[in-house]
Amino acid sequence: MIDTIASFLYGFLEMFQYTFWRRAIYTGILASILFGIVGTYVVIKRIVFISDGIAHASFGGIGLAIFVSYYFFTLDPLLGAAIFALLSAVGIGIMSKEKVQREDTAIGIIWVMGMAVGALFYRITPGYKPSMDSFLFGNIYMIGSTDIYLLVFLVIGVLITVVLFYYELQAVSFDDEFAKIAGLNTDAIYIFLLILVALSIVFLLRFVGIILVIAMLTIPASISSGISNDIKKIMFYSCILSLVFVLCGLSLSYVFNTPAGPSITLFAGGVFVIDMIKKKVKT
Amino acid sequence: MVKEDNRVESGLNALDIRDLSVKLGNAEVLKNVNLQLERGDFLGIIGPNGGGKTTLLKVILGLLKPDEGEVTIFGREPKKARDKVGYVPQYTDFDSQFPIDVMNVVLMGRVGKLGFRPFFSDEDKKIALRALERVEMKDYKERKISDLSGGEQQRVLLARALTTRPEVLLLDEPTASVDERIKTSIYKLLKKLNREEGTTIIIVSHDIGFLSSYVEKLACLNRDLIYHGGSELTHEMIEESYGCKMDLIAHHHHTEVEGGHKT
Repeated sequence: MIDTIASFLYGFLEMFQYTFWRRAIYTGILASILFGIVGTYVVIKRIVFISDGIAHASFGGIGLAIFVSYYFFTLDPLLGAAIFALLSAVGIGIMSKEKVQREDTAIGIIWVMGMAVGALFYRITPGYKPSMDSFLFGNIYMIGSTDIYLLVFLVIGVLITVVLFYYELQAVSFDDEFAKIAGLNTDAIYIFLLILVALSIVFLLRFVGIILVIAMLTIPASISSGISNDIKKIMFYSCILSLVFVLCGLSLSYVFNTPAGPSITLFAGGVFVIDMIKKKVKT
Repeated sequence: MVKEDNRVESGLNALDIRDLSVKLGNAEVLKNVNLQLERGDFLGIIGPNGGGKTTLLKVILGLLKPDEGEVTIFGREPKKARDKVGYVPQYTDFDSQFPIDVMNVVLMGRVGKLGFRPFFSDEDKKIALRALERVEMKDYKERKISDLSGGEQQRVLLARALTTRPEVLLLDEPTASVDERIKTSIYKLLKKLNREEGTTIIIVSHDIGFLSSYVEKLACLNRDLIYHGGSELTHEMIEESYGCKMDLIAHHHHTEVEGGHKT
């Protein structure tokens, strides 16, 4: 037992010797802030399905960017993903503003169309290209220093937003109709929130991938929302929990030589299940 | 006080609804509704579920667009009159797990005035506490909203509406699942707001008994609005608006159902 813990700790420290592991850890620390804050809104505003839709739709941009890069000009897959994610975020925001009937159906379709566009253009593009599953499940070896700088900007942006518009976001999340009557431009705030979700997803794509990102946007906030009635505190606990999940997951991944994204996600999922059982036993 | 179809003196009615029709999907929910209220009027609206009561409130709030007709509040279209309007929705509309305490729910009434300020001012907090006091919920200010009973939640929502300092207050079944004592205190508070501050109040409710003893005017809504100048109910009025549900209403306590024609 002690041996295992010792080798685990040793492994954790050893990771810092390698540039890409260091980058993974820095990314993980920044990611925890996004998972904690943006994830709290995803959970309390109940936009998990919408967020997952945006994440999957972004794959269309990846496939298209790879295709364009081969035949026309170089386009970073992440830029393609960002364009698709932002378009679907704004599209979904407008749908909700216009009160489109069966919104969930429409979101499901956007979700699948994005994936289909991505898969199609990915497959028809010949030549060397990054593997598809590094986009779907993340690949920390692909994280570059630019990715970390971009992430720093996003984190700062999210922090400023939350400090300035905490009560506005709380009002829109709790009771959109009343917030509108109280004088807020709720549609703009909602679309802005979806844009933050979209950017978080895209910027963390290399870290945990399109498919796994939603786990980290929901699990920490979901566990934390059982602890407090105060959104600020829930965010804080979620950030801490995310950090624990990310660091443990990365260490596990290093020690057992497993892929980082799935390791983090499974670790978080395990804690989530234990937390659920604990809550059930209590009641 | 109320001028039905008096289009000459439209001036600045607190509320002015002309020939309003609203369709939701293919269903015509409201048809040819006309209603004029002056400042300080106190109107109760009854009618069967699905009769368009909530829809009417949402049109007045500018949350739904009329398909035909026109709605103005003090001469302005609903979206531009929101600073004058307060709203108490049905408490069942919320996510029961939402993590928020009572004080923060009530402060929401002040959120439109925040702008780029990150915090509520002491003034905002004072207004919120005063509102909680008025609905006898001050001791609950730190409680999680979802831990409260239905009646307590409704009083919190009323307090929240009060913090917007409304000139027109709309309430959607604020006394469902509230016991008699609280019901009386809510109606008394509304009466007080109406008398002392001249707040124009529109209340949607099934509490026909309470309505007839507190409000000045009653209207029945079942797709079209049957407006009644006074607060007494006529048999015919109930029958016309509720249709087959009439028996159920007539057995409600407090209710004075008068036979014959009153209009």
